[in-house]
Amino acid sequence: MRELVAFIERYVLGPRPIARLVVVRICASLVILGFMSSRIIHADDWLSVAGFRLPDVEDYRQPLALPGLPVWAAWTVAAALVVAGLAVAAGAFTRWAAAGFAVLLAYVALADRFEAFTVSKLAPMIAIVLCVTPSGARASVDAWRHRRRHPDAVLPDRVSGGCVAFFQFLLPVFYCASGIAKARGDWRHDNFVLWSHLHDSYQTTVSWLLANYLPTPLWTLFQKLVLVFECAAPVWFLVPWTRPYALVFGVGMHLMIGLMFGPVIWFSLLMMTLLIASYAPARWLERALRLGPARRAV
Amino acid sequence: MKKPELTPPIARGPGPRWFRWGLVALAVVYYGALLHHPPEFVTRWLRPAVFFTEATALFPFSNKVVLEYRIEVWGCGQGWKPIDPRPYFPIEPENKESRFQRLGFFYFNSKRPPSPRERAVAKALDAYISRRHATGADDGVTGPIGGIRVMKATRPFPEPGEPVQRYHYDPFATAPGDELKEKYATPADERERRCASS
Repeated sequence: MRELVAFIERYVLGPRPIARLVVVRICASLVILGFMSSRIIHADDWLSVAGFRLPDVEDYRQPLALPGLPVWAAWTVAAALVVAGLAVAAGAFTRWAAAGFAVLLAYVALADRFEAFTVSKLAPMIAIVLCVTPSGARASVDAWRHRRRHPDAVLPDRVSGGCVAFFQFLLPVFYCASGIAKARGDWRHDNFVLWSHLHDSYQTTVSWLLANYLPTPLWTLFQKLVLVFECAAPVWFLVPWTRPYALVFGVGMHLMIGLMFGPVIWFSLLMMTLLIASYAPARWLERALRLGPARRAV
Repeated sequence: MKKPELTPPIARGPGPRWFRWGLVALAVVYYGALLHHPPEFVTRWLRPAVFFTEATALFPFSNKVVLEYRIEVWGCGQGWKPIDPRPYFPIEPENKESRFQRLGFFYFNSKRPPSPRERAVAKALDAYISRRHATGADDGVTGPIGGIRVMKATRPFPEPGEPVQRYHYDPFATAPGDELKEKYATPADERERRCASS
């Protein structure tokens, strides 16, 4: 047993570049706020008794019956959500800010089932992980304050255990689960599932143009590629030589989803953030964040 | 004098080692729940937590039609008139992430007669629209109303390879081929009573 634990700690949960965690902290919290922004500006309609509220009936669609807030409280929650999200992105009091962000995100997802989507469900988990990991140790207000107090401090360039591995494993698990759901649905026997989603209120100029000008068989091809990518995602991301291709395919897939399905852009941006943070070359991320190699602070 | 090279430390999560292993175990449970939703005897007790794992079934089925929900109101002395639901549901008002479209999808989509739960939701919607209309919401209909009618609008879309129409949200427009189905209407006697008392 001890050998197994040592093996996992060394090879599965070994130290990773901290830049990966920092990219998630900055970009994911901003994307989550971007998704929430269209709700936040109507906080009274979203969370308070001034908007439509479901009657208090037992309902499997409602995971928890929460009463509507007074209007002032709804605006307070919305403001706190913005402050917490921005504080996480800036890395200011990161642990407390991420804890608050997680609680508020969980609350708003449960308080209004109508406005709870995939981003709403992933967001609290991401915030919890940012809370329990040292995500504010670099490129943050916390790191700046730490340097001011301890000018000789050497800042970390790597992060231990599962801090980054959580996101690296989350992606293939998420895609695989999504692929299984698609395979159990219509994606194996109906060749035009993608096509069928191009006509409603998610339609954008891009999807309308592609629907009219892309050769029809390509919709079937894209659909099959997505299904294979998602179902076998653990393989694509586990095997080192397929990983870069999986990264490019995943980012390309989410780019197209974002361009073609209007409001789904926020989900796409969140998944692209997690993909790039988890699997893009660490030196690119370090250069983008200007982290550079860890050095004695001056 | 040249300063000695320092090995940067590795940042670690909070708490002792056993605590961090506990977090790893929780992450594994989370992955498992994403892959396979827990059975009902678990979800009954952990429903709010399980809700956050029900995130992976993304577009598993094909659309058969373009689906939209509309609201009409019974204008006293005017009969049924379509209204613009956007003033009542201002979040993402022109797409299916609107709270009204989601409400319609959850509670007015069944082919069976409405359940008591769905009727309760319909009455709550009726009360909400009537209350807000009375305060002067700019929904395209003036004067007192006696009730509401929820309509499910379905529109066929072309076969693959055929020209695709640009989608525009218009709560009043009915295109050729649109099919409108009444999913709820305030009872006639209730409409009369409200109009008489207005």
